[in-house]
Amino acid sequence: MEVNALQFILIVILSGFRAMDQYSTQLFPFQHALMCWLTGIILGDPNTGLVVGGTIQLMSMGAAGLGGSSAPDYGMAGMVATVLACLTGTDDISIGLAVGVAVAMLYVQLDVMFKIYNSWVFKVIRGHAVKHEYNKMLRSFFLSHLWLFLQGALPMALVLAFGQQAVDAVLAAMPDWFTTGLTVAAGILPVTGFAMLLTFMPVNKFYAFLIVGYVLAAYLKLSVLPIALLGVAIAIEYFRLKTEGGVATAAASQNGGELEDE
Amino acid sequence: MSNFFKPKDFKDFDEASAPVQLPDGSYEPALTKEDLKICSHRMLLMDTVSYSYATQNAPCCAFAAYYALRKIYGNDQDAFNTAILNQLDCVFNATPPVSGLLLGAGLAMEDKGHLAGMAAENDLKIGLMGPLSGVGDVLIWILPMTILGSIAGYMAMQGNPVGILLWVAVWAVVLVWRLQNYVQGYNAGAKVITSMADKISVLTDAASILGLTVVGSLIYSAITIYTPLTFTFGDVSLSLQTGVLDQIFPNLFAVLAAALTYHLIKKGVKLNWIILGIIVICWICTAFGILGVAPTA
Repeated sequence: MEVNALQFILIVILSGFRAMDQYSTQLFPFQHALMCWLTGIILGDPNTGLVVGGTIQLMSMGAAGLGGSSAPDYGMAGMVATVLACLTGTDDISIGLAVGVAVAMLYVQLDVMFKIYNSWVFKVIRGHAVKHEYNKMLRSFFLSHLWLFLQGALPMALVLAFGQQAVDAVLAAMPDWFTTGLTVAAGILPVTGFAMLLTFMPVNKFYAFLIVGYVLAAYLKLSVLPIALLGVAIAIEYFRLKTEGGVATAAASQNGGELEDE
Repeated sequence: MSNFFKPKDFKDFDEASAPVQLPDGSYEPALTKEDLKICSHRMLLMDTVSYSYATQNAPCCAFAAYYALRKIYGNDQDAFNTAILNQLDCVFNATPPVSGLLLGAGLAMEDKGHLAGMAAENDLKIGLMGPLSGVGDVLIWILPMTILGSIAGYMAMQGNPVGILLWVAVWAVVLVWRLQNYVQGYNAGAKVITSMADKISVLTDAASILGLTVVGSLIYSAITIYTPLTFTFGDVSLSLQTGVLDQIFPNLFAVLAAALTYHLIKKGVKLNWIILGIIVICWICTAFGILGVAPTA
């Protein structure tokens, strides 16, 4: 399909905003499926946006770049993948996803560069503060926002301008095992998100609930919403048991304390 | 908007706004609820945008607290300059949505003690940013990502945007809370914030149970590994996947892949290498017909 000027501008702005929002306002942090869906809506193919976004969302879980670490930029990956899938107009999202994943990996390096650039921004800010130039100081903070906006917007403009030809060339040149292999990989890659997530969670303490979740889905064929609700029920009971026990002990010791005082 | 990020009646180093010192050497607290809300609003513009390897998110704190500090120090230009440089230089990094709690509590100290309270404020920030982030990362990032993110992602893969909208709605509630978190921190003070972090650990455990249940189900339903291999006994052929494995242990390969990936990450293998490895293995296995695209029923 052809991208018209309005679609081009909207997607470039959305991409710039997303990159900025991720670090600054965090109105939609890590909501990659949302961004892909919006991209799909702009390009007139919401369903492709949802399917690509869902896959990327599941891959990205756990890769939140906590504590200032650099994580692959799955948001950028998702938007690039959605654009490529919509542009080439096939049901096969694998090439888009593969390019998107490559982009996400490259962005780890850009993230490091951004943080080094921020050291320079910090020098500018501090320089103004030392000289009591407070209005200039406050304005300098937005140099960081500017970098992020461009980091999201510029590559997206390139993808929109040349993405279709590039992907068509790749598709024409590549053998069957290459594209089929990517489709197979797209089905497996969400595993990285789950595994990464598990490393942040108390797996050793509560691994039994992984089994519960698996059994509910695999043998009882429940979908994710009812399973989440059952999980809520278990969590509520756990919290109640733990805190009521805690309160009882605390109350007992308090009573004991009072008796001693008397 | 001028009222949202900047106090309405802001004046530049006005002579009439001299700080009032009390007999015990402390100062009359100057900040109102509105001033603190403005800090929260300004923090929303920043969060972690100034992250550098030098002072991490410290500049964000300075940007957020700018007008609050101006009000605290009134017409005392030198004291204000010391205070703003201190904010810029005092290393800070915490989960953005909860950092306002801590920074609000810190501002309460500075509001009372002025420059004399600054050392205690810095100690509080540096001492508690770790524990508070430990709780905040789990409750604000990891669990919503697990539960809401996986529901949103899984439903989206089926072409249904409801999960996405649910996530947006829940995050909007967090946003409303964030817009006043400095007020809570200021009122609560250091002691309450410390004790709160302890209590929340039970909540974190409970929420982890929920998260693990959901992840357990998604390992089955969101990962697709299909092998077209079949056994042939004379005229009878039996598909390894649908005929044998799925009858005993549905989607066994997904469970094995999750366990293996988890193990590799724990061993310190970089995520990028794992992703590349998966793609390369898929190419090889597809070329030899070991893995394939599942036929749609």
